[in-house]
Amino acid sequence: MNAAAPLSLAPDPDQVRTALDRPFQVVLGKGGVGRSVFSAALALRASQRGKRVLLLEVNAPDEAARILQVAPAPDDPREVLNNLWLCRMTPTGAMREYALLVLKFKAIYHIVFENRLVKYLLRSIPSLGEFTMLGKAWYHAEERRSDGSPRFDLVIIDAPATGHALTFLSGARAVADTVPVGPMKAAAERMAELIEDPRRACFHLMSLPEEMPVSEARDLFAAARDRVRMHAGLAVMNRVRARRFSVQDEPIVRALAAEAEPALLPYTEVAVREMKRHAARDAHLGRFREVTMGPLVCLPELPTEDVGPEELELIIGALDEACGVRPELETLDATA
Amino acid sequence: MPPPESLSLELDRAKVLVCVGAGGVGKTTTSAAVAMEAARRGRRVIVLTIDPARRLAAALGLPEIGNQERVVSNESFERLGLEPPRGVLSAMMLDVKTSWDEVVMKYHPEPEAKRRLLENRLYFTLSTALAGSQEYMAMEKLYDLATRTEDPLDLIVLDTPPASQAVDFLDAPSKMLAALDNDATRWLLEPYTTAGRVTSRLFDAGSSFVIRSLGRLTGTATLEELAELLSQFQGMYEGFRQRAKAVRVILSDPSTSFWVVAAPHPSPIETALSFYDRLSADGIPVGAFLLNRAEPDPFEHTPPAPELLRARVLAVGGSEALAERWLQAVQSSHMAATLERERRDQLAAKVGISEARPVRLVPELPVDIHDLAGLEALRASIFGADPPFGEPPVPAFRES
Repeated sequence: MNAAAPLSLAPDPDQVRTALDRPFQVVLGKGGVGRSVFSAALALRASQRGKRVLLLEVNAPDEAARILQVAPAPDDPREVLNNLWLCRMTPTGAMREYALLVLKFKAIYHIVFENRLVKYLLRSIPSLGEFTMLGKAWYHAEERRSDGSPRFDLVIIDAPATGHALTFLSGARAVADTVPVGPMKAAAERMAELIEDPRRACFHLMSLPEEMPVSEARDLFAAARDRVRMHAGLAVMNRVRARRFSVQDEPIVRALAAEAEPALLPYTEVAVREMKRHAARDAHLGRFREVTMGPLVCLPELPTEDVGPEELELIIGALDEACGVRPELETLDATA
Repeated sequence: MPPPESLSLELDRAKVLVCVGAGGVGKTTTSAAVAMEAARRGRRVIVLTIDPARRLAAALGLPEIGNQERVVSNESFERLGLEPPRGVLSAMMLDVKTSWDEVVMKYHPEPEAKRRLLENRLYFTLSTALAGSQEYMAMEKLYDLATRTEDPLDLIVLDTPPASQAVDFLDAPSKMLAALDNDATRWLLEPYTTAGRVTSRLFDAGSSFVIRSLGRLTGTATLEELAELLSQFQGMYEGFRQRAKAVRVILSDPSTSFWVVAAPHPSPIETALSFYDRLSADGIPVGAFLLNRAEPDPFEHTPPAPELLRARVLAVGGSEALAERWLQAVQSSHMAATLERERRDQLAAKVGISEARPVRLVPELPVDIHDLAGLEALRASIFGADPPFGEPPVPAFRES
């Protein structure tokens, strides 16, 4: 194993702050990388800093509510914590809102939408569900209060996993390009404008320090940039284990491992395994950074799977650090 | 805990092996490692994956995998100093769009409608975006492979799409069929002639209030294109249904084995149990539970010796602090391993552990799996050190 120094992981704080200031942020990543937890942390952090934040759950209904320890999100934004609104998005719910908006009257909605044939037809239109959900997100991003100021300063979308996220985000462009002239096409064009606007929208790409998740992140990054034409915000590496053995420790560990004292096998095996994990982790981090090019933020491995507000604070701490807010904190790679 | 042989026996008696589980637990690599073991045991085996090709291709040492079968050559094994399998290992990746095209090309009864269908603008999105489309095409592929007469296979290992809900995979095809074909469509699209041209009820001169209102949402042109698309599928529904039924028969056959892949952590185990419940409800037994990425217990064979470690660290020039961190690292590894064993035992107790239903912890490998050597390490880790060489080939499977 080469004794390369650990990567310098600190991102440029200005770049991180810029990404976190975009009013429309989408959290992307493959299944199981921790999108819901990160989305909740992003939302909580911004709300604590006085922003009016709407967190839209497309991915795992009620997951954010569970993490934030608040009542499950309704279909309409509800302020669940100070400055933090939560809203669950389902294809049916979004479709209903869209229909009511277009048809104006509830009575007409009932006649049309309670119709068995129509329910069926709507289900068959490809990506219509995703499209109306995106429409709802867009609507809230543009929503104004009576004084003309935006209702929300920040809209965060906890997007579905890889493939579905792309269907979801490219829904606007797909509809704009494939559907014949009509009300849907017009709306789709305005949604696509928001998604493609680098000053307003960005995606955060999440991954884990493992081979396959980083490879998938590479594909997802290319698709989000080229197919969805969205701009990259943060590259987020989740569950980055703190180093137990520093580079300086390694010669000592190796010396003892080389002695092969049978009674010390449990110790040398664990230490050698840990060092291999460090090396692999650094390699994945390096590859992930090459892929995403943007500012890389590493999140710590959380002590429990059952994430609550306390664990969110650990992630918020990592974000603060990446923004240069608390530089006095020791970095993940600090050697003891 | 059952001896390792029970896993191998379960593998030997299977003609179709379906790996199910949530995402992120190593299902794809596990599928490949299981297929590799079957090939080592002398069988002609294919692993069919749903995930993007690169994952499995890399692990199998193939430049790429597509909708066509790729055999892993003996040279690929030899190059890494590995013994090539006595059987044959091959891989295939499900490309949903290509598979749809193939099914339409193969089964559509009317050449003209077939051509128009393939050219329909909505066909592309429909075939790739319709919920359950992927699972449905996996079934079509499974049907293809299971019924092929040329170069028949002894075993098909199917890597299913990640699912958090209980076996979406089993339900998706019927849902997708229901979306394409139901009484409502047939009524709507039933063609009839009005004023000399063939039309459908959907665009009947009187165009109902309902349809007009709906048109305000989507634009009427969209509805027309959709109706056209659905009508172009006419003539294929019966075939869809028949093959879906045939696959159901294959899946509930005793020679089909479902393996639940999970990790020894609370939420993946919960998911594994929900798979188990759902499969049991369908009368399908689970062949094995594999709990991947388990922490190896440092004290499994050797007792703790903290004082010796401390002394040795200081003797070779290390600090007290290093010794302390080292002891902590080993202790937390031991605790994690203990906890995972408890979880395995709880799962085993819940599902009624038996020879035929092993619940196995698969230790985390020290390296990522990105080539055949890594896959071989995983295989050995799953199946233990069963000596497959020199043994007489196991009978491929029962006559069905």
